[in-house]
Amino acid sequence: MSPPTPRPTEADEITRMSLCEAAGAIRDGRLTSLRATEACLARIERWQPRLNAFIAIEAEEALAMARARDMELAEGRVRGPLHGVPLAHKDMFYRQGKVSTGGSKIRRNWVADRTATVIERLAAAGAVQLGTLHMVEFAAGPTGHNDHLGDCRNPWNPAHMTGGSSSGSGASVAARLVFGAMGSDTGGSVRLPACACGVVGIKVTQGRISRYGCLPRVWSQDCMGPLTRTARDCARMTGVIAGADPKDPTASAEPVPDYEAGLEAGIAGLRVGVPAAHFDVGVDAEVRAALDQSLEVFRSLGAEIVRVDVPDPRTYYDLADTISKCEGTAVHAQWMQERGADYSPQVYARQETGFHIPAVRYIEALMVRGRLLAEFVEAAFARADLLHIPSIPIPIPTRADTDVRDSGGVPQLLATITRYTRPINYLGVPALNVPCGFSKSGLPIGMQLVGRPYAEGLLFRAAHAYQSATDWHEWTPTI
Amino acid sequence: MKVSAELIRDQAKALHDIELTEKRAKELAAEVERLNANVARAAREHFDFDDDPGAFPRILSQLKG
Repeated sequence: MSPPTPRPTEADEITRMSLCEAAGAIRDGRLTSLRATEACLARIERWQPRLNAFIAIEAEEALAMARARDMELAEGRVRGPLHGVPLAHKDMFYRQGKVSTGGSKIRRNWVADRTATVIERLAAAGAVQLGTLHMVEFAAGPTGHNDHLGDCRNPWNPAHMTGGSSSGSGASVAARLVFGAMGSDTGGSVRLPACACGVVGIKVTQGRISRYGCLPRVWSQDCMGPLTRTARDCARMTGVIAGADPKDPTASAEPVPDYEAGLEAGIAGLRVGVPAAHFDVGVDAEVRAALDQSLEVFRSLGAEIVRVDVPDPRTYYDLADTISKCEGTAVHAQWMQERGADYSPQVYARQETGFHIPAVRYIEALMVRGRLLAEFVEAAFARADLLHIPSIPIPIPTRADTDVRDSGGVPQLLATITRYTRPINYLGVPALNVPCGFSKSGLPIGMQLVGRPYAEGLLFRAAHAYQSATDWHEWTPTI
Repeated sequence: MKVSAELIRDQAKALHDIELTEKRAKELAAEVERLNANVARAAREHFDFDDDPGAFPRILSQLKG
């Protein structure tokens, strides 16, 4: 199989740049923010009917913002490392005075009264926002289905799921509609669409990025994070938005390193840990083969592949699920009681269990979290610097196969999709999806690199080394 | 620990003013029973009297790479 070779337009040539390449071209004067924005809008016009990736396209505002960025550059003013770069974000990052739907019917016309810290920091770094992106209703689902908006569709094959809940973020970045997009990850909602759509996506260390002004899903496990085409792009966006925030007391005060500075250091001598057990359960042969090939790439780059014994992640999965259901239900309890019919049945059902879990169980799940984290870190990272595990252990399923309205076996399939992402949210450690191949059906396969707390820089470095030796991230879907 | 559909249905009505069908009460009972048992087991194996959920961010920092 070889990469598709479409006839590119000028807009296609521009949007094929990585985020960092586009930012560099804008800063050097080889490209204007206006032209980059027009190129994205041209591509959005062609792809939106196929993907349903955008909820709102803010063309005029984006063009005006791009012109302003170009004017600033002409005056010698550079806002920051994203100056003039067009982005769009999952429709859950509030902007004061703007509608933020959360992918829901209930908030279809809700106007935000504050602006998310993440949005403020991206704007301060010079980014241009093109609009808001499709998401699963209230960020409560791993597939990209949405009864109110229609489903988001995978750019590699619209019959297949995008993954969720950051469905539009995955689809729009993969289809080169934007140079990067923000998502959120509570049980895999950045990594799953990143995997299914073939892009890079990070779940950061719990608390690494402010949650202020973001739609709440599960306070203790929500992590905001970017989806991009390259590890370098992801490092740049993460560096812009990470760090302490006086508006969010749960945001960590740990210093934010320069994630891009160490990218070229290589991975000679890096110990890549492969779990000896537990993380191979239910892994499809095609996925396994791609993961094994990626390990060979790491080995060829000088890394040492080591077997490590790690605890069974099913315990973490159930603890994460319990917390998720309890906090999620608490967030939605009043609306569920008063406006239950305004939820799609599957989202209502996902939340409903939380009404019946004893509070003591919820608190116990939180109490043992630190102890289990310490045990996991000791087991996983005593002999390894990072872990290499599947993102989604099966080939990307179709939208029909994952439609909870149609099939009795779907809940089990959804649990399979999140098997190796949700436990990571309980542990709070960082994890990065990196594309590592395609299935015979032409859908992406991803690996998940997992690190110790605050080891995002190491994950970016390993992923960058891998992408320097492979070209999966350069494959482009065509209409 | 058995969680019955009746318990779930009665609790839904009494505590949350929600009416459940018998089928849905059974589904929820099975899920609650499973999660309750698994969390209780994890707590039995790992719980320490002095564990504080608020310590989690500090533990993340202590274990940083």
